[in-house]
Amino acid sequence: MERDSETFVQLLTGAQQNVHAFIFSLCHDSASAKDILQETNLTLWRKAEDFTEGTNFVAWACRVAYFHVLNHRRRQSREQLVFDEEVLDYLAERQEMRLESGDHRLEALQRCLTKLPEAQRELLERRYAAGASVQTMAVAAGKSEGALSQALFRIRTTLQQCIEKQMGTEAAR
Amino acid sequence: MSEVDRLERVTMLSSALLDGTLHADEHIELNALLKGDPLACERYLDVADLHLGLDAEFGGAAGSVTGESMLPFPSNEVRGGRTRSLPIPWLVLVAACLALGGALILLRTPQDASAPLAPTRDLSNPGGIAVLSRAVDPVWAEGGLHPAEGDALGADVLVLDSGLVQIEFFGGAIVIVQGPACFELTSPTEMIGSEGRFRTFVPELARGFTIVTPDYHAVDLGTEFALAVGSDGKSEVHVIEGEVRLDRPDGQTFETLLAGHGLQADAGRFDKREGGGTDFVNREQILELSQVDSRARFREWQASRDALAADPSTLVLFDFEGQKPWDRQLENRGRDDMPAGAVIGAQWSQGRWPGKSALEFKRISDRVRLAVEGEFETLTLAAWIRVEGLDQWLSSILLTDGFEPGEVHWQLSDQGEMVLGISGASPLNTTSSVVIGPQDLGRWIHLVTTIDRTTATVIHYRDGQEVGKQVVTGMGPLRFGAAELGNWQAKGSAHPLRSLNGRVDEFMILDRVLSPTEVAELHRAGANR
Repeated sequence: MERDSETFVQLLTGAQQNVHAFIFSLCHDSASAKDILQETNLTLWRKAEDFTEGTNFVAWACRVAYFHVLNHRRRQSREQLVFDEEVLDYLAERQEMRLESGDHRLEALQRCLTKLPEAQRELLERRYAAGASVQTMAVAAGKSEGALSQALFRIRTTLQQCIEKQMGTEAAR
Repeated sequence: MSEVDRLERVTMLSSALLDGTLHADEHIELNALLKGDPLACERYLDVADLHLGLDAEFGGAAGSVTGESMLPFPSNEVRGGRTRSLPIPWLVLVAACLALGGALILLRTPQDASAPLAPTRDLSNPGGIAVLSRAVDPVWAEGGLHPAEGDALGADVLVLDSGLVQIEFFGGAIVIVQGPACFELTSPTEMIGSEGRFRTFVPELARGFTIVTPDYHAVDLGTEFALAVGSDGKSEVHVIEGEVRLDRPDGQTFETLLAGHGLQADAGRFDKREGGGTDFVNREQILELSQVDSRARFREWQASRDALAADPSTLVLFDFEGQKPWDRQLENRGRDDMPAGAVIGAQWSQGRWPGKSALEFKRISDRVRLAVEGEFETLTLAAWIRVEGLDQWLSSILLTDGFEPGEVHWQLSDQGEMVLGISGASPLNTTSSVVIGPQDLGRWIHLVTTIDRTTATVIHYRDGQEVGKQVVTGMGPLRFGAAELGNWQAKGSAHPLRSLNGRVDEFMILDRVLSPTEVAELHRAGANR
């Protein structure tokens, strides 16, 4: 496909969220994920001609992204690596499938957030909207990092259960 | 652990991972929990997706990727909120680097055996820009060029995954590249650095050598600078010696850096780096590079040593190499009929470069005993030595036991002169100019003295240069017998204390006179740059 064609630009633009989610789940670091996404985009653009119209763009993009993730890994120290390649490989495969199927987690999440107690919402707001690290939040709140991490874990569990329920109902409809 | 507990543990660890509070031992636990467990993997992905979802929902930094900002096609690329304009050739190089750096193999689908971005070509017939003069464990990216040591290079894009290479530009500049690196040679006086660490030596002749980075052109106005470009386009330049001019892509000069100064650049924003730039291309890195350079020097030195070892006029050759720390016998690589030395007291230590061994003479009892039988008409004495202090009236390099007629004494005076004494009816002493000043203490220097009885000439050399020449009449045949390196068995003579304070990492005696050219060559082959 022509890299300057409107279709390609649209496909690439439309795939950003998914490709980013794919990369993030493998490198679990926001800054790295953005760098890798940028690198991936350049490669996708450079190799646009290799993409056959009608085939799955997200799948193609994820495969390109995976190589950039591996490339990024090679530059990291051992201590920075969490997953070994076997686990990473499986996660990549699964995440690609999840994204291709285009499930509606975000809508479910929005519904679940409305049901969250105010205190928990506030905690999430500080963590995400203000972009505060758990370390900073702990210092500000006079709590231990562990306690705060634990609180966030509980909120995520609640939300996760809610999302699953929502998606279950959706599937049952 | 039950399945429910396992999954809860996965949720907890994943949550901590995303919050940046996961400990190193928990990394291992999380990986172990996910391995071979599809449900656990699914759970981890749920938590990761939730994290991104929350971030997007609350408008944070991690989750939202507004398509436009990350895309490559407009020449205005926004990064971290700042707009930057990348020159197009640079952008294309980045793309080429990225593709070669990893995704190329993947992208070559069966129906499309697409041509590599940098087509392989006959390296023996180059375009002629530079030569790859040295390579240390290089790993080149698949699909790109794989030049070997000695190959000439044209206008090529090179992607070095790891390792070190030295490139000598036909314009005279020498660049040591440390991978991961991606760069393009554009002319005998210019290269583009997309990623990597570059240490550049620019002789007078090659002034003006330029490295192009995303933010500026670094133009060397003489000697040496280091430049690092990250995969994110950030760069740091540090002037080690001399002067570097920084020009904008439009050619306008905006900064001139002197030795010890540096600059960090990130998307058009510049921060000065002062104080010798120790926080820039870190010292380890420089050391690593210099060690590699040393390795090459080392190989060169080895070749020179092997030639000397094979020379039948080499009576004694102590190279102090290949010996165990506990070895007390010093191998003599000279003539087979000459015995090994015996190390007494002196400790093994580091020589001219990392990995080169030396013996350190510190205490007044430290010495190496040796024996050289025979009478000689001509002699050359040579040593690489690092003097720590001239503590005695005379410090021994090589002294024969006592001082019998014809015996040779090679030593340093407390003034820093080389003194060659030959015992005779009256002792014949020849002294060089001062070769070791206070600034030379702790530095490796190369000392040579040649004695020619047939022409009655003694010549002293320091670092390949003549530092004294005298006519000495009345020399008898030259002898050693039992002798010591770094010390003296006085046998009742005056000034018995002549122990050396310093290190020796090469010592030789030849029964011929080396010419000034040979001495200069010997120094060059062993010099540590």
